Amino acid sequence: MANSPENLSHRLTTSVSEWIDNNPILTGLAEFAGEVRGNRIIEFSLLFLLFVTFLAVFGNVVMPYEYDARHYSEDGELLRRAPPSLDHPLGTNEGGQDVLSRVIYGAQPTLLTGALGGLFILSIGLTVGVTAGYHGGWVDEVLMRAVDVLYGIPFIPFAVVLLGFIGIGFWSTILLIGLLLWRGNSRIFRSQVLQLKERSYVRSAKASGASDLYIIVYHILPNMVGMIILFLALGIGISILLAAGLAFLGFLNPFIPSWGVMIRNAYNSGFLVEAWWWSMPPGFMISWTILSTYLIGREYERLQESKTQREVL
Amino acid sequence: MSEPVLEVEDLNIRYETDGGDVAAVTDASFAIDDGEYHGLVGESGCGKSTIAKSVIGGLDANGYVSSGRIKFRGEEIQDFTDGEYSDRIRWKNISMIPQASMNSLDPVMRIHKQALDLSEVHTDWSEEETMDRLAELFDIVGLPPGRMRDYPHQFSGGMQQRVVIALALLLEPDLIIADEPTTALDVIMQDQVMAYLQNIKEDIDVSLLMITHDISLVFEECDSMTVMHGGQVAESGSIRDVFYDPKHPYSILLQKTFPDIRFPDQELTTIEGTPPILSGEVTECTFADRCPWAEPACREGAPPLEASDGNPNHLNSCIRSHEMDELAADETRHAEVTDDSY
Amino acid sequence: MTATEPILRTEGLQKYYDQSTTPLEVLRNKLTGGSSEPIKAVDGVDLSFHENQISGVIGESGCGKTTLLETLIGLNDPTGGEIYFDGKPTSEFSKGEWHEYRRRVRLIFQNPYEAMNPKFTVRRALKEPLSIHGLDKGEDDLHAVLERVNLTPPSQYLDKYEGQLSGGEKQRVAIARELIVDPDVILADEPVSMLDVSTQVAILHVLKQLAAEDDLSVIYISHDISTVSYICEEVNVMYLGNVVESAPTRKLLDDPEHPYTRELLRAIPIPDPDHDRTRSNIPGNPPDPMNLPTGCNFKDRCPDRMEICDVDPVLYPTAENHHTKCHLHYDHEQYAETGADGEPVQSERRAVGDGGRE
Repeated sequence: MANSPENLSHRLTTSVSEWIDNNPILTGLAEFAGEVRGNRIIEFSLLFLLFVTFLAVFGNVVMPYEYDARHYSEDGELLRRAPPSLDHPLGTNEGGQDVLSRVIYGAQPTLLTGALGGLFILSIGLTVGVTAGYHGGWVDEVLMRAVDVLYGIPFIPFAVVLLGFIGIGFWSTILLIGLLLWRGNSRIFRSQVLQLKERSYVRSAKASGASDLYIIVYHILPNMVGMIILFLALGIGISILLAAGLAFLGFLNPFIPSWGVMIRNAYNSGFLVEAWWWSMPPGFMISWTILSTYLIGREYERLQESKTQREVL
Repeated sequence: MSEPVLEVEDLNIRYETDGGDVAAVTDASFAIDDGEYHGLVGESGCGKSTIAKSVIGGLDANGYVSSGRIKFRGEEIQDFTDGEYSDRIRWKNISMIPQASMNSLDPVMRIHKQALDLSEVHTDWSEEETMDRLAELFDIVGLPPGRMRDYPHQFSGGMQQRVVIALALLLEPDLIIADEPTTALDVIMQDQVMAYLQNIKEDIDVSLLMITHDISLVFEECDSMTVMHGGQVAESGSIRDVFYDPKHPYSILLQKTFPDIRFPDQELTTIEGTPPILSGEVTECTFADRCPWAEPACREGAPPLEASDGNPNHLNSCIRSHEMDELAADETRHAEVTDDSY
Repeated sequence: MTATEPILRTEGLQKYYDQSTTPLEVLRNKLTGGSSEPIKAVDGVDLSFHENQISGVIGESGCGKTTLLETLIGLNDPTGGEIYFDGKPTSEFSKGEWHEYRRRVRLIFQNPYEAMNPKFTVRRALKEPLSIHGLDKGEDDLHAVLERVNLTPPSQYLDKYEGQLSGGEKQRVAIARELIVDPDVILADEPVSMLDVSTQVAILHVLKQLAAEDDLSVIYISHDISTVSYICEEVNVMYLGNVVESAPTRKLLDDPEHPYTRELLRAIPIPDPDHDRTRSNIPGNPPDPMNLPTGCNFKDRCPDRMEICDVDPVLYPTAENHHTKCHLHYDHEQYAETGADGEPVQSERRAVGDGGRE
């Protein structure tokens, strides 16, 4: 029958595969997964990110204890800054809370901040960069002067002013980071577009009568994918770091143990070094997350470049 | 006969790559005498730029001479360290004019300063001596000596090229290597640059190794030439030998791919295939895939360079060279005489 | 020239560029009184191109041939003058007519290594102009167009990526992509200068074939007179935004009239060790489109300059198919009477007699 489940799923699969084939971005992603097999570092990075994502989604199920549960010794004393033990593999913090549970719990807010912040930074930066680079003229001038102005704005004072208006909190932080930090990638995107615009195949499409949108979608953006992924990775990293920094300054809800908040609390307790089991795990998690996204982004860009150069004899 | 200025003997140059070593140049040999202008012709990937770089120790980091000799006035230099090349060869004895060399002039330094830099590092000349020498050279290449103190951007492209030639001659080298000296220039500028290069011959005793893909230039301006394909020397000899009596299929066919403005109606020949992309060892004649007269024997080992018709100054690497006159009878264009020569 | 109407024609075509391009620069210029003299890249050009013909446009860098090309293809708008396609002036084109023009007049670019989007297969690249122009063609048509450019067997090429093709193959795909929409005019901008010599000839032969067999008008633009002479039936020589001489190829080579053409031909290397060629001997710097003299653009470098050259010469027909823009070659008195459009010429009082040299 035409609409039987098998038929439908077959048609669905076929249309999805066609969609992937016709969309150079998706094809690229699928191929990337295949091509990094064998590269240990990249495999590790991918697995690590998958692991962190898993924690973010299923952390609640996996946590040994409640993230804010306080633990007491047999004598009824609060288990402050207890070193790692079987009961508490990552020890406890100043308030007797289990660090491992807090690290697991903290995955979600950290990743959300990173992903949303990174995407926000990328969207604005890419849109501005491509518009300025492709259209040139006064549009370019205006946009780039805006970037110049933004570069002059220091982050923390801007944060103070903005958050004074809209209040602190998770979404405010994302907004803050996105509104300012796109200045870092827009110029680079713009210069890439300037270069691509002059390529013969772009000019040929233009001479043929292709619309600007067509050219941007099919000729400009696909040839920038490597760079886009890279800046996405960097954007995610910078969002996590900045959010952590803001947490340090008290701009974020101090009771949600994002990894940055945990480090802040460890620092404030005065036992940052002694209670290393408290400060180092969240620190490592931040670093490795950023590093993994960066390595994957860079590897993707490298593979993209080498694919266009490779000649099959 | 004095020692040739430059002699390349059975030279093999390799590049290290991820996929193994690539033989960029295989068993190349040729010689350049005093005051001789020698053209090194070939298409992309033939190894001509590689040889040029190796002569002044300028190979990329992953390039190395695996065997053979490069001799400058009889002395072997292929194993010199970078320091030795700097001290003893570059600028003083052999100068190189790289491709698009107008870009090799420092845009923020006046010309005379760049000259003074050179003489300071490599000689003990006084400032006055250097400036005199520069003025002399400007004169020879047709530039007004009064402009020695200008910045590079104040000269046009063709004039910048001549500035680079003047600087290359500054320290009185015995040999200049010019890599595609006129590719970036329009035809009238090219003509003028070549005119001045010929002038130099009259005033200064210097040899020239000109690397180019344009065989017309070589036939006009040079005294001797080498034709390369896929890292191998196809043919080498005096201009007249290679022009009137080519023995290698590539030399024969290559000449026929260049239009001659005197005979605009003459059909040009196509050569099958494309210049090979080299990888690994070379174990055959690299022209075999494109050669209309190839035989199975052509693929059994790289063909050696041998004298043509017993002339030791006219070498070729075709194992069927003795049959070429017959095989290629209708290919040799200049044998035809037309009434309306230009 | 053929007696039929030219498929593509320009009349007094002009393209000027402002020296300042951004609002900031315009402002700065106004405040400091800087130069606002436009760059006259193309300054009054009259050309005609017919079907079944290969015409050449030669000139060195700065002569305006690239700008001419871009204006013909619609990548920028003319500042003045007119382009006539199939008899109709492009300034009166509707949007739909422009779209149609872009289908029928196509351009082959100089750099074969950038001709295709590296993410595209050959098939995708060939389909692009089809989808832009709403044409429906099947697999057979793709095969056919690849065969026209001698990429056989076509099935072997359709699924390849750009990086898997040689330079010559890339250029052929580029040509095929332009052919697939059944154009009338093909403009070629130095299509072979970046290819190895042994490949150049094959591409030239493809172009020759297209003009002969497919009723196309091929316009070949280059600075290399040797290749232009090889395939073009007629040649137009450009210098600093003007066409200075136009003639059938053979006639131009045998009897060049304009002093620039003569110098250009003199400068070509001859592949013959025994040929003694006299060098070209032009004084002065190569042309600078930013500081044009009044009158003839070539006068500062011309070995045959006369007083009258301070007045701009017209492109004068010295023979049925031969036009030259030079005071040496036209009968000023006669021209003064009849003129190109009946207007008397300024040079009336300084007529040089019968158009011969002084």
